[in-house]
Amino acid sequence: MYTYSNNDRQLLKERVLQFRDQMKRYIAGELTEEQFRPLRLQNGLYIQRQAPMLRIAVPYGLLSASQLRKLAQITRDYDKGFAHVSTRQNFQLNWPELERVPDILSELAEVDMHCIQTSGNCIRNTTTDQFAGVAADEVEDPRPYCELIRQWSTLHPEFAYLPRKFKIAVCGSESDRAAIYSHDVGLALQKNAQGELGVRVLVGGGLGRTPVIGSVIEEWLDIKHLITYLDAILRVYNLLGRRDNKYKARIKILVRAMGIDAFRDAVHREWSTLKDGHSTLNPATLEAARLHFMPMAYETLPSDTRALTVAAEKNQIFKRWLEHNTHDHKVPGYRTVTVSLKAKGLAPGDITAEQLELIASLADKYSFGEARTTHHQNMVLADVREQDLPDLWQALQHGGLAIANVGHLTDMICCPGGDFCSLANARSLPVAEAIHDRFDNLDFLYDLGPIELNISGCMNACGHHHIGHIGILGVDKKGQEFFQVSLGGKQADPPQIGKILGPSFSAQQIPDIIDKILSTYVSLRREDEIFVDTCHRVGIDPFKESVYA
Amino acid sequence: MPKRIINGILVVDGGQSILGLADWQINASESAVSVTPDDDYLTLVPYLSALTLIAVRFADFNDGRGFSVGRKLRDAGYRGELRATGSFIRDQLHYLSRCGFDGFALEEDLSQEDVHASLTEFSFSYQAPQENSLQQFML
Repeated sequence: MYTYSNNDRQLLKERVLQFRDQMKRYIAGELTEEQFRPLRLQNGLYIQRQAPMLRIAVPYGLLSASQLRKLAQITRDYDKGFAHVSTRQNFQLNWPELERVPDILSELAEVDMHCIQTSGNCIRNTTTDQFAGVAADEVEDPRPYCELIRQWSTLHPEFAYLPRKFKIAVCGSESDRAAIYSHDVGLALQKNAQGELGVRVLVGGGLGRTPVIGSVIEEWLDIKHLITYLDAILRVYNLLGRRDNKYKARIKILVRAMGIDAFRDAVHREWSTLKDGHSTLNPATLEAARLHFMPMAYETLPSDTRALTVAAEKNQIFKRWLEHNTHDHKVPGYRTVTVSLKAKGLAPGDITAEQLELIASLADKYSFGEARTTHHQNMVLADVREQDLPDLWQALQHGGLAIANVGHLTDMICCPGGDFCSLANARSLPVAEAIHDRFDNLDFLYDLGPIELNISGCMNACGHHHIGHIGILGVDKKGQEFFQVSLGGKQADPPQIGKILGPSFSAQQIPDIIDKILSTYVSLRREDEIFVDTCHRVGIDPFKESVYA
Repeated sequence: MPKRIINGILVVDGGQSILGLADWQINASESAVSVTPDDDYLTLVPYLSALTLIAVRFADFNDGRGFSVGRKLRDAGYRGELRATGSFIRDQLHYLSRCGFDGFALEEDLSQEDVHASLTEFSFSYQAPQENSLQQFML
């Protein structure tokens, strides 16, 4: 992974000092609430319903074991002993004390971590495929380019007061696991016939109250132009994006108002002054970036899975986990493991200090000392030898991290909702829990096949409900919470916004409604047809009929 | 007395009035002009070498358009004083200076120490500074 230079470290130290002073001035009344707001937000600090919330950046979801241990210690010393993985691959602390936030930042800086630009109207943490570098279908490892974007976007002086937040996702594989169509800018790495690296650039995607699938602004952009082109897009957005209404301030609204062709023209006009300029990526820079993400020191292993098969036949629970929570690796003899943070009784994405430490030690023992967070709110150990899987499984099982539901109904994405977030209209966590309680028979879930169920507590859509195969959105009606259900959303291949089923339901009704939707699917599916494909083939009407009958 | 910063030094502002873009266009022999992000400030480009002061007005400190306006004027070759005026805050001085601003008309009452501390908050930056130097990727 990327190793910090002295300059990177110095910058973090100075950032902590800067924020310590800003906090001091705020408490002393020298900074108004309004002035302090963007300063604290760009250090990840929200003022929430129960307590402040602090969002810690995990650049493109990659962490070292020592960083995980530090996080565990911070959750114990400054919070209630657990953290939450967000859909942007970051960690959130739900109970820090306002005055101690500078101390937390200082502790994070000890392990090259920070909260820079995890909130506010600026360029946010860049996200990517959780299987970057190990996926069998990968065209190019996206992480070097994510790191270049991280450096370019960190404390970018021109783009810290944008009309609204700005999110970039990068994917380097055929199958899009980074939801690039739902981002302000989505980047798909690709190679041409000559083997040269380029980027397909999407712009103006987003969820929130106006879900939009991103438009192609550039089919092919030579990789060397990546940064100057991003500068051009951001400058056009900074100058022309709406600032009169925060609900119409995202770049998707600007792109739609101008039309993609006029927007592209504006970007090209701006780019003509930046192209080939000082931020052009020269071959040496690109090579240096790639050197930080070289393949691990893999052993040459026989591709012999007999021992594994024997172990699986002996133990059905292990077999299930092997089938559902591990994935093909591009190197023979290795597999990638998803550590499910979706056990019953815990909020989706929540992880305790002990579990963080367990993953740290397992990463050290079995996966080259690295771990990852995923936008599905799980964690990943990317490089595990097949022969180590039984032992790894046992340790995860012991730590409550081996529920074999990855990719299935109870592997839900869910925002913290009204229990924590001051924006939320409804409490999403109890709904997630009720669904988990009702559908806890794994064999039933496996029979249903892959289903993505996403829950958001309000239309800001942090739970990505628009692109869930089943989406659930909390709404407020005269002070009472209700839940709207949508079907057929997809993050990619091709991306699709789900269709709303009809009038909304109370929280208590939701498990029954999901049950009816699933029964309808089972009665209509063709052999091996997955849920979302059936939705698209038969349309929403059969589901409507069974649910509202 | 109102204060302003020029090249990092706090000075008393003489209260010199600066023509807005529309008035300046009538009297283009003046060497100082004030623009807002809503103005068509690129009409100044042919006159940049004759100008010694361009003031960019911030209507609200959260309105970041002025940062791009400054950067564009510098990229277009302007070398005179680029002064931020209006509702920016002390905590933006560093970013403003990195976007090419070297003058700041202050609404806050700051000391020379405050000014120095804010302008030198960071000893390093990733982004390419002005004057054609290279983007500083740390790899």
